[in-house]
Amino acid sequence: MSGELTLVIPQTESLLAQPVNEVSEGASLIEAVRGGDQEAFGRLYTLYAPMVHGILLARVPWRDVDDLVQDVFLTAFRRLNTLRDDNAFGGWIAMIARNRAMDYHRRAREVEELNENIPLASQSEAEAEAAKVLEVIRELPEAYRETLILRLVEGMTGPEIAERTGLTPTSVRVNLHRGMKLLREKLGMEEVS
Amino acid sequence: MKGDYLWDGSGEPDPDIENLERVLGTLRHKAAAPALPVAPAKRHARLNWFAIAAALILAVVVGAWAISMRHQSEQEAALPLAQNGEESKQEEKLQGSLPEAPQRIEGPAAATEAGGEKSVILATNSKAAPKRSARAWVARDTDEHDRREVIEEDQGIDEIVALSNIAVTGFDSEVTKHIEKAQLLLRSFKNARAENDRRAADISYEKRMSKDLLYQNIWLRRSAEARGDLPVGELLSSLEPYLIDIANLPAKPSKDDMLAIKERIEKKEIVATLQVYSVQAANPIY
Repeated sequence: MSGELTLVIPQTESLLAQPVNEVSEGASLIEAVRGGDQEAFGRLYTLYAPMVHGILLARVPWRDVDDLVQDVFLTAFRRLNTLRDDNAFGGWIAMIARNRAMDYHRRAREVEELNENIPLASQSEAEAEAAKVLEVIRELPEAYRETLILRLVEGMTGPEIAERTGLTPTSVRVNLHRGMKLLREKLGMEEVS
Repeated sequence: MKGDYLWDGSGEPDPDIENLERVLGTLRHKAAAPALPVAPAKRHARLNWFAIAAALILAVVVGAWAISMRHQSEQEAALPLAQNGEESKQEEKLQGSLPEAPQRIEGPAAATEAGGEKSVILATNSKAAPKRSARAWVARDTDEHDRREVIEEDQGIDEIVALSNIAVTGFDSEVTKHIEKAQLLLRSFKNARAENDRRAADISYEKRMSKDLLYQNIWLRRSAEARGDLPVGELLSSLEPYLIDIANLPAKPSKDDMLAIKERIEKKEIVATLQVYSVQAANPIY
């Protein structure tokens, strides 16, 4: 028996929710936006609009989401001087989006509910199918719902979701896998081992 | 590893996930960034001081104008000023000589707010008024310095406006609140759906809100026009037709009725225009 020992170091995920270079870019963009830089605002929008869109899509009718995305960004712009930590922009604008969704439901007047699942003449078959699946996702617990929409609708990867929302990668991974498991059950898909 | 595909798209693709991506991808965000209205306030107080200075200068100018108008009317007035609400017989006679009873439109805050921050607008709607010198009762201040002024006009005009005190904020907070409520109304109206006659949407809430906002809009528009605030006046003018149309709809309108208004709302991008005002209004103050 040899006296050689092999030290095994388990791979661990980075504890940082955000890579340092992305954090710096976000903070410098925000400073530029404060100065009225339209291009910086466009870039910031490109980075965070999918996340805001996904958060809203998890909560409000999909036809109204685009308007609300614009509203959230204009609100964020208006309140930019209240943002204490530029590196926390993602979590901050996510909070604005969730609050905006709550306002939407609070102020929407009661009507005969037009379920998005009812196919409309103007709706394409693809949209109708997407709306049905979206309804199923919306029945899932909130944490899973949002993360799944960001992954499956907006096409963001797990690391991107963690980076933009401020969640830890571990939390995002758990939400994705558990959410996907529930979604398979609801959609009647066979679970892939 | 299939688990990796869900996490970061690497490894062997999971067919169920691929299928979901294909189906749900049609809902993906595509819209372009909105235009940046104006630069937001920086974290230091420089812009606030500028806004305060501008507000003070405006207050001084308006105050000087009000004093000069009062001085002029005191010199020219033939009637004694009323004291503490006592009506004089001559005022009653004069009131009788007016071609038409003046319409008084007061803002909701006018009668209740203390401290003199109110505007009261008096308008005559007489198109039949003779084209000659006319006396008209002007805005009556309702605070403890109750006074009545008489303004003599040489030209025949349809509306006679006078302001007692003006709340100078740069962006009037009442206009800002009104604009925000109007945005909510238009969005709510856009969301109302009447897909067929059997399921006509009930818009009684929108109608009621529209009516309230319409009166408020008229008052605010006239205030803005009186103080020479053309941009606000024009903004409120552009909003007014929508408020009128929605207020005049039947309680359960047909799909076509609603579609016509919705299309105009979309085409003229009125909601976006109101949004830009809201953003601009908030910036100088904060």
